Amino acid sequence: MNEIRQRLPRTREKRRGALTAYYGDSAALADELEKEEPRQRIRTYSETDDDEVTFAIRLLGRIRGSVTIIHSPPGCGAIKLEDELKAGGSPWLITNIEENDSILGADDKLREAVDLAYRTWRPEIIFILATPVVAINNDDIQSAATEKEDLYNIPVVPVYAAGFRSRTAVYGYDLVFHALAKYVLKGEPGAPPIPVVNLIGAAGTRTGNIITDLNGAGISYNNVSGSFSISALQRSLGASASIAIDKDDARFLLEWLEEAHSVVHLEEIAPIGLAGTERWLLAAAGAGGSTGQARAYIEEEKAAAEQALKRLRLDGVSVIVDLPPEQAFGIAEFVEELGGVVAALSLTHADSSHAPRLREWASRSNPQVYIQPGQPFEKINALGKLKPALYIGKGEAAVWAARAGITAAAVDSVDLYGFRGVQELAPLLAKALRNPSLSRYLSAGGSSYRAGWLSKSANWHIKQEVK
Amino acid sequence: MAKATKHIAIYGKGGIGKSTTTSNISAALAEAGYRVIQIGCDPKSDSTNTLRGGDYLPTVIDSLRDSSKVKLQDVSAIGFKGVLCIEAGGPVPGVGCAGRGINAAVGLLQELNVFEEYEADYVLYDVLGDVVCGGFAVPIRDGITDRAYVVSSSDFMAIYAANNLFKAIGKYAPSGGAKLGGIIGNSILPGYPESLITDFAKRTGAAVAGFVPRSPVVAQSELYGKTVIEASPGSEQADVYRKLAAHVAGNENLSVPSPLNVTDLRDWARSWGDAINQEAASFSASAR
Repeated sequence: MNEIRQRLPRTREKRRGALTAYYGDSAALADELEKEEPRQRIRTYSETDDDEVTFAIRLLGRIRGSVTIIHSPPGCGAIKLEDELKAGGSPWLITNIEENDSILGADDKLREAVDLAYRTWRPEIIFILATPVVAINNDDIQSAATEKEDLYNIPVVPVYAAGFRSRTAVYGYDLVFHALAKYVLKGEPGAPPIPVVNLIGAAGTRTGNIITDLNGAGISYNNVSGSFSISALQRSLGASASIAIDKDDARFLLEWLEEAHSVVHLEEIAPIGLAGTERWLLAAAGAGGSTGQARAYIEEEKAAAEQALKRLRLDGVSVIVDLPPEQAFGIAEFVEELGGVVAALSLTHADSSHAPRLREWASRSNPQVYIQPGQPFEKINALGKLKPALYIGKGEAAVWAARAGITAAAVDSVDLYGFRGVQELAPLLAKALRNPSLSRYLSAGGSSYRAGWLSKSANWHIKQEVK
Repeated sequence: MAKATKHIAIYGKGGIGKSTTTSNISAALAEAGYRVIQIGCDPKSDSTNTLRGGDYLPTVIDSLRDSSKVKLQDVSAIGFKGVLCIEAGGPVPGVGCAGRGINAAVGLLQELNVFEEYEADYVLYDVLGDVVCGGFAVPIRDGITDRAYVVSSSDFMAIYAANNLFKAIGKYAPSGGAKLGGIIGNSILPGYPESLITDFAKRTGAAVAGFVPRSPVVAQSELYGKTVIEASPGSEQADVYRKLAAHVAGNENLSVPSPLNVTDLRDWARSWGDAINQEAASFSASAR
C-alpha cells in the first residue's frame, strides 16, 4: 500500500468512487458504482452534517492510553465535548488557535500542548489532530511531533484532517487508521500467524453483544473494536484474519493489514439479523479455529431468537432504513426476515464496495436508494412522498421523520449486532409501531419547510457535476 | 470636516521595483508638501527602508503578537519629510499565513483610525508580488483603496503578472474594489520596451502612468539607504519620480482593464518576439 508513504490516504471518492448525493433505485446505483469513475453529484443546497474531523475525533477518543491534541480554534472542542458526553473516551486538549496563531503559525502552542499532555497524563501515545484552519495555513505539525517523540520516547502521531478534503465523513476513520499504520504499526509481528481473528470496529460500533457471541462460539479474537489499546493494534499484525463489525468504517485498516501483513480480510457483512449473524460467526470461526463449537452455538441461539421473534413480526410493513451503508443493509435484511417490505434505503454514502449488495437488492425488490448524509429537507421530502409505515434511523433524523408523521425507531442506543442484537432491535421496532402517538403529536406542529419546498422533488438540489 | 484621503495600492511582479517606485513616489509627494503614509504589505518588511534610513521598525504583526493593545506609535516611524512608515509584516518564512497577516494588519490600522488621525493626503500600499491569494488582494477589496497601479518592466513575466492583477481588479471592481490607475513602466531601457508596454496597455484597456528609465542613480541611492528624491534631488531621475508622483496624485482617469486570456497573451508576446528579431536584424544590416 503505497499510500503509507504519503502524508494522507486517498479520499473515498478517489479510492472507490464514493458518492454522497444520489437519488434513484438500487439497480441504477449499482450500475453507477460499477463504473470506473462514477459521476459525482453536487448539492446546490446542503444542510450541515458530520465531516472527517468529527469522525477522526470520535475514533481517537476510543484509543486507550492516548491523549488527543486538537489543534484548532475553540469550535472543534465543541464537537469533542459532544462526543465525550455521548461516549466518554480518552483525555484531550485543544490549542485554541486565535487569529494571530493563524498568521504567525501555532507550532509553539502545539509544542506546549504536547508537553502539558505528557506531564498531565503520561500517555502511551499522543495524537495531534489537524483541523480546517491548520490545513489552510499549513501549520507545521510534523516537526513538533518528531521533536516531542524524541524527547518523550512515545509515539506522537499527526493526523492530517482538514474537514474539506472528502465529502464522506468516514474518511476521518481512514485518516486515523492511516496515521496508526504509518507511524505506530511499523514493526513486523515476528511470530507466525496465530489462530485468532482480529475483531475490528470503529468509533460508532457497539461490541457487547457480538463479543458475547464470539465467546459463546469459542472463537479466539483480538479485540480492536469499541475502546481498544495500541497493544491490541500491535497484536493485530500477527492474527490469521480480520473481521469487521462494520467493514465500511474500518476499511482502511482491514485493507492495510491484508496488503502489508497478509492478515486476510474476511469480507463478511455486518452481523445483524439472524442470517447475517450466522454467516459472520461462521466466517470468524473459520479463522479463529472452532467451527464445530460455533455451529452448535449458532443453532442454539438461533432457535431461541426465532422463538422470541414470532411475536414481533413486521408482516407487510413498509420500512425506510436511514443509516450508514453496512448497518442499513444489515437492518434491511433483518426487516425482510421479519416479513417487512424495504421501501427505500437512505445511506450516508455509497461506493464501489457496496455495488454487490445493491445488485442483490436490485434483484429482490429494487428499493429506492437516497444518499443523503444529514439533509433533513431531502429526508422529509422523500418520506412525504414514500409514506412508509416505519422509519428506522438514528435519533437526530428520527425526530425529523416523527415530525413528518412517520412512526420512527431510533437505533442509536441499541447494540444491533449478534443474536442478542436481534432481540433488542425487533422489540424496538414492534414497540414503535404499537405507539404511533408520538409521531402524531409531533406532526401536528406542522413542517419546518414550506409547502412550496416540499412540492419539489426530493432530489431537487442534487445536480450532476459537468466536466 | 475630515480630509479626503486617497488610498493607492501598488502591485507588480516580485523584484520589479515596487518598493523603490512606491518609496520615491511617497518621497516626492512629501517633498511637495503632502502628508503621506506608506504601508508595506509584505512579510519581508522592507518597503519603507529607504524612507527611514533602514532603522528597525516593529511590524504590525509583531506588535500584535506581543500585545493585544497596539498603538500607532508602536508600529510606525516618521521617515523622509514626514512620511509615516508602517510595515504590516508577517510570519517568519515557511510558517503561518502571510495573506491573513496583511488582512489583520490592514484591519488593525483601520481600527486605530490611523488615516484620519494622521490626516493623510495619500496612503500608499506597497503589496507583495503578484496577487497571490485573497489576503494580498485585501488592499484592493472592500473599498480600502479606490485605485491600484501596477509596476511592470517589458519582460514577459512582469507583463504576465500585470495581466493577472487585472483579473483581480476585474473581480473586485464591480463590488466597490479598486480600479486601475495605470501601468508604471519601470527599469526601461532604450528601444522597444516603452512601445511593448504601451501596446499591452492598449490591448487591455489600461492607461500608462509613466515610464521610469533604468538608471545607476537608483542603485546608488539605495546603497546609501535613501530614495532618489533624498539622495540625488537634483538628478534627472528624481524629476522622473516627481513627474510620476504628480500623475499618480492627480489622475482620476481610472478604468477596469480587460485582461488577455492565456492564449491571446502568448500570441501577443510571440508577435513582439518576432518584432524584436526583425528590429535586431535590420540594425545588423544597417551596421554592415
